[in-house]
Amino acid sequence: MIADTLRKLGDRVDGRGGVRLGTERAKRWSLSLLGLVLFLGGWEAVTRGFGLNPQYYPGPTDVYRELSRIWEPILTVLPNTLEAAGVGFVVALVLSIAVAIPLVASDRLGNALMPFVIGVNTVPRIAVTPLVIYWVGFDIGPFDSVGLAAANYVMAVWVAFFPMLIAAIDGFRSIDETTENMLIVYGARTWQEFRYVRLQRALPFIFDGMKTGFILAMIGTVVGEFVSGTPGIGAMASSVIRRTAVGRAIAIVLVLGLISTAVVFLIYLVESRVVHWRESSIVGEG
Amino acid sequence: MSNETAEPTTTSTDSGEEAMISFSGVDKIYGTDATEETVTALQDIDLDVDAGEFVSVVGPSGCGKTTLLHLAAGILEPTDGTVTIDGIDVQGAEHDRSEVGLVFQQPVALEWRTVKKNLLLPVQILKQNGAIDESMDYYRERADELLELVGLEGFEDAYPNELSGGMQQRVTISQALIYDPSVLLMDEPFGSLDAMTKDELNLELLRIWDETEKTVLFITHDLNEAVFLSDRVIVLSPRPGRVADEIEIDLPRPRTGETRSRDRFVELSTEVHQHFKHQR
Repeated sequence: MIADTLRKLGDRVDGRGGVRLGTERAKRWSLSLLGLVLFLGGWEAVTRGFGLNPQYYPGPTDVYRELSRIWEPILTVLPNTLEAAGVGFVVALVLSIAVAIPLVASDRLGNALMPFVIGVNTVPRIAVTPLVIYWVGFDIGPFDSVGLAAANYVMAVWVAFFPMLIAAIDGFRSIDETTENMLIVYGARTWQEFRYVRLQRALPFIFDGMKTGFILAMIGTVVGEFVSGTPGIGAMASSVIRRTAVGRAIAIVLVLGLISTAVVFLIYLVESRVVHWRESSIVGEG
Repeated sequence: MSNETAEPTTTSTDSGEEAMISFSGVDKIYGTDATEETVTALQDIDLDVDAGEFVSVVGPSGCGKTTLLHLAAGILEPTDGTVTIDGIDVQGAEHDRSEVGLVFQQPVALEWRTVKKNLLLPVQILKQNGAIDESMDYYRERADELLELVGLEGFEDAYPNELSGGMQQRVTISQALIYDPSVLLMDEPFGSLDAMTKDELNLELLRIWDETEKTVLFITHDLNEAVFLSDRVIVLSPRPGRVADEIEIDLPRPRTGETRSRDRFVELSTEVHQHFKHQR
């Protein structure tokens, strides 16, 4: 039934390849739904069938019950986490583009700094969380402390920035030889190259970077909260895990996952509007 | 733009007939770094193309045809010698970008711009850099005229990926014509098209050339195409590319589909073909 409805919808939206496209989309959605049902069913069956202790091995219904219990507290701390991750993500995005442009525009700058960028990108950046909290959150050294919670914002930027920078650099560099020659023939200046070609060519890369970047910003913030204990989803997860409330922990992770998925989908929707000349992908590169 | 102020670096101006495109003593060596292996792509190229002339360059693949064209376009710098357009060194600061149009082998239309906006791209760039003076409205009108000239009226607002290969190549040609350059450099522009579309576009190119009086330097590996289009065919030798021969094409103009069945066409075509057998 769902497949039929979706197919009709596809026909209406897409005039030409509508039938084929609609059918395929419907098939994909119904398969995903079927997979989800099978997964949840199997999980529930295993926990019940083996009589596992729901405190340590909760089934989907246990998780749901826990979720409805901690729903209210989640909603009160969620804005903290979302704000830190969201602001951090936007800052990292703006920074990544602002840094990528000079690195691509100047070969010398690119050659000098690329090894550093790649080096930092491969470092497990989460591992320095305590240091970030120490430097940003504590009142030490020449700076006045801006508060423990500020470290969560910095964590989001720190974790999301480098992969987004590399995506943007790849994007601004993705210009074919013919187009480059064409620009030489017109005598285009560097800023014109960026304005008329490189920016547009980079957009799909930047959007892909944003999809992974937002997830990373969330991880950065949550881990920051986890370690510093400032009010947020991360601190909440940390406290329930310490009390081995596994069902609650899974419920919290579930909420985080759903939020990230929703934001990634939103980015995808914006992308398919902006990059209208190219088919967008819902998954980022990472 | 400002020919008066050009430095007197030219060589061919006092030879009586002024060459529009002039190669003098041009060598192009790739990989001049001492440690690398060097490849001499072109050697001792002396070649003049007069204003309004249609000259084709043919030769085996890898003989440096495209290199020759890229030198004229200022994309590549000669290792030795100079290339001038209208008497001005293309590598110098005086070189007027709006004098040269290049029609590439592959379509160059940007996929996020409509056909008309693609046509206006060079205009935007050249205008911002002060290389052309007319108003944007003038060029918008000109874009419409050009699209009609190449048979693309009604496709102004189409995106490149909605067009066939032949139509995209028409866009590429009109894009090179939009700012009215006096020199048109063409790099196997119809190489990727089927025979029928190619013949059709050849006729159209001649019609446009006739109407606009451009100087054309045309690269192709299709010898019949070269004979059909040109006033003169330059044969390059295999690597290193040198001018092996020049064949005057004295077929009457305007040339039509019929031209190909004339005895003289067959004769000239055979002459050019012969050249390639000798080289082997």
